[in-house]
Amino acid sequence: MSRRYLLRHVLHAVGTLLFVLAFNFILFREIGDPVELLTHSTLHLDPSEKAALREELGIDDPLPAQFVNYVGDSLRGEFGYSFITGRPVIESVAEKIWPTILLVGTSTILSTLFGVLIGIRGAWRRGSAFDTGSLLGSLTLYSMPEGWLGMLLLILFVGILGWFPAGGIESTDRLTGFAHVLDVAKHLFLPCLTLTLGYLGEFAIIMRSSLLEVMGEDFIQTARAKGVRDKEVRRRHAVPNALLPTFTLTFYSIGFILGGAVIVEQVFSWPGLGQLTYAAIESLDYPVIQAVFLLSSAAVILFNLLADVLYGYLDPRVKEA
Amino acid sequence: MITTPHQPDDLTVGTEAAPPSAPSDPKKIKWLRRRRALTGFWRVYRRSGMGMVGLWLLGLFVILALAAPLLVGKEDIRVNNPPGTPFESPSLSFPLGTDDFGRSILDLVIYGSRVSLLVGFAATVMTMTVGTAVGITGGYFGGKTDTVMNAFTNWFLVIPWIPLAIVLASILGQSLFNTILVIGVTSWAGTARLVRADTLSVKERPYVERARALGASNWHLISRHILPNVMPVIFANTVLTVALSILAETTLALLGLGDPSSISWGIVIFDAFDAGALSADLWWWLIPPGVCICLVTLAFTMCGYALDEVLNPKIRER
Amino acid sequence: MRGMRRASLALGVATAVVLGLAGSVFGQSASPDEKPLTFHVGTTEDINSVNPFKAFNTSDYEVLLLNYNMLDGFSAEDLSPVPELTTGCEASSDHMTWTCEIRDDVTWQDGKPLTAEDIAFTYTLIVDKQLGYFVDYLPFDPTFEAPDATTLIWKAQEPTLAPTVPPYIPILPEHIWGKFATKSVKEIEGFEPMPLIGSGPFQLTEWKPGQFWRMEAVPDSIFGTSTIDEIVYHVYGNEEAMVQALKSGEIDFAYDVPPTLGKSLEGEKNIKVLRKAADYHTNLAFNFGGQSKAYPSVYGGQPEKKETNHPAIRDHAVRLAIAHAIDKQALADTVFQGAAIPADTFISPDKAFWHLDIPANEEYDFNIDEANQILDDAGYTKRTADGIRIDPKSGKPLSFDIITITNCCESVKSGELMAGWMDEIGIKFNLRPVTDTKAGVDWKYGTFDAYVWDWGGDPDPDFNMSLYTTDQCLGWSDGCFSSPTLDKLYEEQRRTFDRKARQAIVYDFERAHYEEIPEIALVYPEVLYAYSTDWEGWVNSPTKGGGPIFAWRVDSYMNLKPVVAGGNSGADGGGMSTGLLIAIGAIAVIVVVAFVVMGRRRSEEDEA
Repeated sequence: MSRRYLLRHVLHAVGTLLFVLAFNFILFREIGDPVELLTHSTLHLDPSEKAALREELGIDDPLPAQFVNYVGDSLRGEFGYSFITGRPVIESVAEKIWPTILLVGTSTILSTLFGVLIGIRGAWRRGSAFDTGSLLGSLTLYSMPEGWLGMLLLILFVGILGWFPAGGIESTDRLTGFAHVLDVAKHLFLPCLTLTLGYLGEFAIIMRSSLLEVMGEDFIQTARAKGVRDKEVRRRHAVPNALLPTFTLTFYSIGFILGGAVIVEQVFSWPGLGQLTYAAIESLDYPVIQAVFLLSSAAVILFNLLADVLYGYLDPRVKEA
Repeated sequence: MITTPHQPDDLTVGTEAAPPSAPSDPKKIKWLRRRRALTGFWRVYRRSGMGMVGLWLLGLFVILALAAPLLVGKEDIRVNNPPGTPFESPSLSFPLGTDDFGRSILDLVIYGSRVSLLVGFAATVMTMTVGTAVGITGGYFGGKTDTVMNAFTNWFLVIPWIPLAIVLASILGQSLFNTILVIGVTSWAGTARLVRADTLSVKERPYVERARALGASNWHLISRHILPNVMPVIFANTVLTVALSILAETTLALLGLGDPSSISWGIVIFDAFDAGALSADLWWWLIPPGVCICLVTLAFTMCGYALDEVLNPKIRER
Repeated sequence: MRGMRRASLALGVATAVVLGLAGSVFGQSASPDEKPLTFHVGTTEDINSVNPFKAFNTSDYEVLLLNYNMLDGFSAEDLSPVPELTTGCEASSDHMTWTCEIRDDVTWQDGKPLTAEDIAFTYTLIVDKQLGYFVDYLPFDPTFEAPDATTLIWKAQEPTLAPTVPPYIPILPEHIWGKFATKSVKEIEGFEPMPLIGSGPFQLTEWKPGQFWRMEAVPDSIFGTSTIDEIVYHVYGNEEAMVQALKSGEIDFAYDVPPTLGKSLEGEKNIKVLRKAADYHTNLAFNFGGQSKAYPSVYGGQPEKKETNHPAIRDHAVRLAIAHAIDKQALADTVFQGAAIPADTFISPDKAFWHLDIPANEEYDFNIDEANQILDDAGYTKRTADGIRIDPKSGKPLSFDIITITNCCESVKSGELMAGWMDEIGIKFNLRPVTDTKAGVDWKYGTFDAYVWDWGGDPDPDFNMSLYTTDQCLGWSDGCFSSPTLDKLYEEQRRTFDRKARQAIVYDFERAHYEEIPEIALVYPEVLYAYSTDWEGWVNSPTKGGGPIFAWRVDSYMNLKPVVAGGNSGADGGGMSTGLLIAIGAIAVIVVVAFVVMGRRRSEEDEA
């Protein structure tokens, strides 16, 4: 992968990030006077304290200066204070970010893994019972609203079977060490299953299409004509070429999986960023909303960049570009 | 001088009978060409089992949605003076039982098809219009225009859609129009990116170069050459977008952001959840609307993937 | 080939079994003897903050009730004031100076003694800094002194009964909060000490926002020593999950269960459902305008938008017609599933001494014809093409902007029902569902015509009456209603110290309120609790019709003990034992992998 390619994509990512920061800045400034919003719960605030607050927030500085400060603050992780609890936003975010990473990370890995395996098997044995069945299954899963799927799993595994806890990330029994890990795993199972099933279908279908497309390429025919065994053809030629678009798609889908996590976290009371976002928006806690927006956008930009880099590294056609 | 009828590259339709004495009127030729392309297209599409099943399902639901006002009276879905008592189990008069107001759930599911499909289609119209406009403009004009459009598109692609949707819903309020707006705003970027990529490749094609050399205006090029050739991709994307829009409406409704005074499948599930249907095991309330959403989304998706196979000869079954 | 396959399958199953055993060994927490006796409560409302000055929801107040003591508490029978930190307060003849005798045997949870100085300090801090939710209990600019450790002197600038209300204010330790006497409100509200040092029978020791908070028992408080060692309050994102948790034994008590879920629990064996008589009412509160005039004195500066209230709302005839077009019984039956009583006055019946019962024949009955007649007689005869009546004075149709609150009290559904009835009398209710926070913004600027919300209140009716006075515009008033009659009656009862005489004035106020219709009280909803029968010792507060916890006293917490010896609900956090789950899971994975692998082998053999 050429340095120019890398540089171009990194610059592109940085540019997008700045754009996001700018838009974020403008959007949330339009919401209303920050001092009013910050103090609306404190009914009695004398004018001198309000003036001090305006000074601190830099409300009356010229707009470009405010923006520069905003960017600087954001990069340092200073997202201000919650309107509702008064605690630094970065604290609330830090508390909630790991459960979401755990949930989304595990689900993404599992859905990609199984999606790819199923897609490969389906494409290779096109028209077989497995293919039709898995295609139908994948399409059905893809068509299910995640929230509804989560509710169904809740009824089945918690209400009827009673196998899993109803929500949360851990029991309150002060477990430590390995017991704690197991406890979290038990709580993670259902939300992870919901999210995994939700995206497994899509990845399986994409992998299948991608592999079918590659299989139609000339060089595959050539390899077969040369007498290379099916399994070899698949393993050495078809799959790696088809894998590329699938993997990049996974990275591009992070944004949607994060979105899906919001409703799954609601259904299962999973204490992650999704729950934080939803509560913040309900109570109009703008600093928190702003921070979550920014962080999730940054995550998506990062993953898109990784996808582009991965593509550049793996795809020989791009290497020369 | 026109020798062989020109087909857009994407529709390699295969063999068909040679045309009868070709009329000399260019307009007639164009229509003849189009009709032949469409019949050929249909013939390939018909071969896809998935595509046909999807189409049938779709037809069923569309008919249901159109016929809904005939099947369900306005009095049946009002909350005042409902036809039944609350929380009845399924019976002959109420095959899916009643909700917490006493309305027949079957009526709600039938009537809900209208809003669900309406939101799906309307949001898609918005998505496709904006997405196509932005994508073609950026792809065709290139340069500074493209950079600006692209940056704009990228931002919307990158922003997490649910928080944006939630913020918009809380600022604008919860109404049907706002739901459509929210879904459109969060979906157009995907289409724009796709259309732009396709525009870039179509732009380089020989006939476009030729037309430009002949002095065709931008507008002529876009409307007569670029747009028709990008149409197949747009069409396939439209179908999938409807599916995604319906799912998005459901997600918003389940988060409590839907228009509470309207009836859609997502709202019916939300109302069920809100009224405690989950714990009370009222499966007849929770499951049918969800199944409908699945089936409609499935139908659109199946059509979409069948279209994908038709338009992409490389993955068609040999 | 075959042998290898079978061997690997057997190996896989063996691994699964071993993992399962390991899981069951490690999955357990401490042995039953070492485990504290924990009482698990479920709620959907998380606490707001550990800072007492930010307390505003029910969960916050429960923490305050357990963690701190107040000057007076509430009696078990009828919530009248009973001594808590004080043994009695005496008023001077002019009711401007009160002398309270403070107990000498109370210690803070960190061991230091609690004295009258702590009380004087707490009250002074609140008055000096005008700290939001507590300052209303200390009216008329009082000053406080503690000449010695057991005497508190309360001096108000005007005659008052405030010390007997009693002030719902947690007493804070001066040795911890003292340094804030000179700091800003922001700093005071930002102080988050953990654990929370108070003098009550429990102490807040852990809080994981969005998940749970933990309160540990402190021995030898004023109320004695509790049997339980700790209380864990679990926060759930929705009531469904909370009810599931109760069913599976994860929690022992579910607070505020919605009526339909309550119904579904009624068949369960180990669960009891308790209906608490309502202590609040839902209302249709009208907006009378005037917010922009009051804005400068409350917030400073000019408001960003002016009020948009429809002029016809100010017409009594319109409100009267609306009152006749609401079927409160239908609301109670349909929207609340029967777990509510149609309301008449704004003081709920559980406050038996103060509640005025309007006789049935004097109530506004549900009568569409009469409503239509009233509007016709009042001159609203012309209609638009859609049948909506037109206000002759302003020319505007009677199309009202009605806010419903998505996260409150069945407001949205109530609104929908009412809109249906209003259609029949030629009035249009345009429903606008928003969250309570957003509604607060509309309230501030007066940009609505009416909203469907609720009001709770103290056992003493003073606060609830103040809501309908002119002074409370942009304070606690919903729509800035102003009536000289109500203002006068409010002031009168405030200065009447004879209980019976005061009751008569309060009754007059309630009647005037009913007639003038600043709001329409819709229903008194019941609150449903559900709890496990594995516990006993529940004490309701008040004893008749009250709830066991999230109420006014701590008796239940002090008395609760498990019925079955060693009953440790919540072990393993619910669900099947971890070990068994792992075993099942591992076997499932083995089977799937085997299927895929074996399938692949078969395809190879086919092609060979």
